Amino acid sequence: MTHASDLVRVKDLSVCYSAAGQSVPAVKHATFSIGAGEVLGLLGESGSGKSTLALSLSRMLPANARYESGAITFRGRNLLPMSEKQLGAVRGAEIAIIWQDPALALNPVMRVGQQIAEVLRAHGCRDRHERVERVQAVLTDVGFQRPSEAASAYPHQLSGGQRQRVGIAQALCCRPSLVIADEPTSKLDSALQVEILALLAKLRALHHMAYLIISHDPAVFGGWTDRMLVMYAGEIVEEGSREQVFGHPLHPYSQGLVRLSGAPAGAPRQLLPVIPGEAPDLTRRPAGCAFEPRCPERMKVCAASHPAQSTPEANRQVSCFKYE
Amino acid sequence: MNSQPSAPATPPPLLRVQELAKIYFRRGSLTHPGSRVQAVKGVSFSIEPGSTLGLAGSSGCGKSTVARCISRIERPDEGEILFEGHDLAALSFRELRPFRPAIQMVFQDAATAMNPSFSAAEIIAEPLLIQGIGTAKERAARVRQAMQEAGLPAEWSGRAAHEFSGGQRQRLTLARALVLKPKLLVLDEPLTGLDVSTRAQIANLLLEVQAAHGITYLFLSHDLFLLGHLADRIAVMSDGQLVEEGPTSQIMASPQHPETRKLLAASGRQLAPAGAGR
Amino acid sequence: MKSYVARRLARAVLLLFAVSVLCFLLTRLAPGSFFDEIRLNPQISPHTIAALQARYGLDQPLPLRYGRWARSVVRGDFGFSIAYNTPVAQLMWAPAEHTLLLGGVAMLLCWLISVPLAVWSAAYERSWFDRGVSALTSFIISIPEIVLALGLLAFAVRSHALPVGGMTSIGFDELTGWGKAMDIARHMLAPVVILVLVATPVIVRHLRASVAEVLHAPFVEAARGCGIGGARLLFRHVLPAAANPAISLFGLSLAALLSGSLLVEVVTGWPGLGPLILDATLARDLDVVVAAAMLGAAMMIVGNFAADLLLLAADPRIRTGSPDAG
Repeated sequence: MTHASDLVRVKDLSVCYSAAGQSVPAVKHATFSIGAGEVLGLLGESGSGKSTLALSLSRMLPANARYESGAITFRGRNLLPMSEKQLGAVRGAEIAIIWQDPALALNPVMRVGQQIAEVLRAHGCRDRHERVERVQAVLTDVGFQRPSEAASAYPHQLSGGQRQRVGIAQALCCRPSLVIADEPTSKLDSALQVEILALLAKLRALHHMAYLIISHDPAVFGGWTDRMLVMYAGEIVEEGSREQVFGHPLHPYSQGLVRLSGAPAGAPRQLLPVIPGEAPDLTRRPAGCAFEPRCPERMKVCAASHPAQSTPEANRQVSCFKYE
Repeated sequence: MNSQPSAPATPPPLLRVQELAKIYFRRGSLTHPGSRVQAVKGVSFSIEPGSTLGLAGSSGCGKSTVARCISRIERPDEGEILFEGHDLAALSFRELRPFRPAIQMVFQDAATAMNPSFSAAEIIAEPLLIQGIGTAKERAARVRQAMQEAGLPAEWSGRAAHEFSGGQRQRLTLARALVLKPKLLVLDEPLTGLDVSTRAQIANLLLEVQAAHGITYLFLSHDLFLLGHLADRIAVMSDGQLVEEGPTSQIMASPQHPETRKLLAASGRQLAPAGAGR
Repeated sequence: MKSYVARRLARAVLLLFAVSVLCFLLTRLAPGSFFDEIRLNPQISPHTIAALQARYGLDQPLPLRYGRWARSVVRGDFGFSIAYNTPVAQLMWAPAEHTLLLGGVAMLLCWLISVPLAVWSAAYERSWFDRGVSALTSFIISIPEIVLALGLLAFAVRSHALPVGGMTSIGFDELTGWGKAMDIARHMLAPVVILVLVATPVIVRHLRASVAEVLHAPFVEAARGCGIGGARLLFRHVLPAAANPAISLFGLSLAALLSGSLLVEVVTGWPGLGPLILDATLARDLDVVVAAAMLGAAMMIVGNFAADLLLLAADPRIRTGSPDAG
């Protein structure tokens, strides 16, 4: 499912973490692509490898991460063999990240406007006045009514929602072509979540950058997400358009998640439809499908061997024996 | 002769809060003057025994302050907190001691709510130790029982807290809260920050525990979707005041106050399959 | 702001008063007096000694003597030195300047070396450079100051590389301005090196630990994710956030500016406050001793105050009273 206008092409990517002498696989044989201006949603829970996959796109993984195989192509250039210096030119200017916790992602002793200006400076904006102007412009874009006041504030003087807006401003100030949003709303309460997601949608409509949105909550992927990837235990288990994946999910895990989020608020004290069990321990690598222990539709073959990717419909992929 | 049948006696509410108020003072520093913040004002509600009251509101609305006043981590400046008829707000710290086991609190961030190097057994046994309940053997038995109820395997009792995953840690805090067999459990956003499926599992666990023991819940959350499943009644707070209250079905179906509508809209994010834009 | 400064000033005055009383008391209560040695001399009659004692007020009760001393402080004399027969203030000016010069140069060099060393050490954590710096600092810290001083002295004397003793050579006055500066510099080299060796390892270790901790903070990773890197990241982003422990140490450095070099001055013969105070203590020239102690206390107050102001300037969280101020 690759197109000529693909911005990012990930092929057979596998990433491991070495911890305490063991090698823990975080991402296994991931293959997908993001087109220019496309919004790709990555749905998965803790331990699914979604953050690892996303952060590997700009090589922002911690020191103990190993790229076991695969290639990451951005605008035709393979990112994996690049040096830190070359990556420094890509990060911020072409691929930017919006972090989960805005309180932690900002420097506590530097004014917010200065922090955005630093990104501009790092990517060639030499003129101080131009930097000030651009900082004001991007702060207005993300919704600050009084950008000059906001620019001179310190992070601890801002509310959680304002801090996240600053994080978004910092990511967008150099007009990157890909924005990776790692759980951009998990640390915010629900009213703020709506605001921030609306902001992201509006900015996308304005600047047409591509997004990779990561979340464990299906409700985050609003009407503006184009395609969806569902990850479980380091593998992409389902891929398709948003309507397809949420409208009629194929993989039992996706089905479970969709059923859970869509459960109507009926009579109180009703038990929610849960997916039993817990996320698997990644150090143990079962021979069969990783979801098998929790799957309500498991078959004998599921424990014995690993399902391959199949294409039951056009532009859809799923890794499940049901469709093989 | 009185031939009128007497009305069935309704049990008195387990908890009744009247006109609760709390003010925080922020100390002045070198360059800024001190400030006075009215965190909570004129809050009144009651909870029937065995039921769940959902206290909803965005961050900063004062619901955490209310929770802390009820569990007497802090003392309210005004108002009454009538627990089974006793006014907790008027009692001193020492006088509160006999009431402590009956009111337990579960916090949002399980990771910071307990010592990460303690083992699970130590964490769960601690309240028993503090209250001086039982012998070591009896305590161990109660710890096992609490772990089983919370869905934690008994073999994990020796594991250190930092080795547990997010959802497991929350089960651990729940086990710790349950070990004293409380009558009222105050839960301050206990499911925020958990994965969607973990959240559902623990929500179900809370329902099961409530059904088994008849515990009363005061459940704080900004997520009305969740409260719609867990609570019998919902009270909405905004800016330190209670703005709306009623049975869950009524609040969810026809919210009156703009804050309630805002929360409902935020939580009612359904997966619009037909591409309904935002 | 004004009330803050006024409060600090008032507290400082009270503190100095308390220190002066304590010093005064302790020195007077300690056994021995200035005239003990003279008493041993059979040629001087007890009558003369009694007259001398009366003249310097040594026979009066303590509170009266304190009052006399306090009056002399207000006058600007800070007491009277029996040994040198001059008011203490006049006596201490020149040595104080010399000590300030020595301490100031040492402090400047020390910080100029420590900061980059600590930052680069932390940036390349566990590299050979870092491990080397760590080993070296551990080694130097474990050597007592006097051993370092004597060791360097021995080296200087044997190698004839540095002049030892005093601040200037003979024939100083005939040198040109530049020549004079160079002469002083050469004499200063040994004591400065000792002072720098003593102070640098402590600062390096503390700052390195703080910078290493900040380097693992999420906001540093976020900055890297924006493409900021290299020296700019280290010195403009990381260092300010890691500066708090260093600022406290800076305050202490400042506080010890006049008193920290006492040993070194005595050993290397630098004409500063060190030898003066030592002699006065041994000779029981008590007004000089009290004045020296007061000077030390005053510098401590100044150093603390400077550190507090710097902390306010450097950490906005403290400035605005944020609940999570470091």
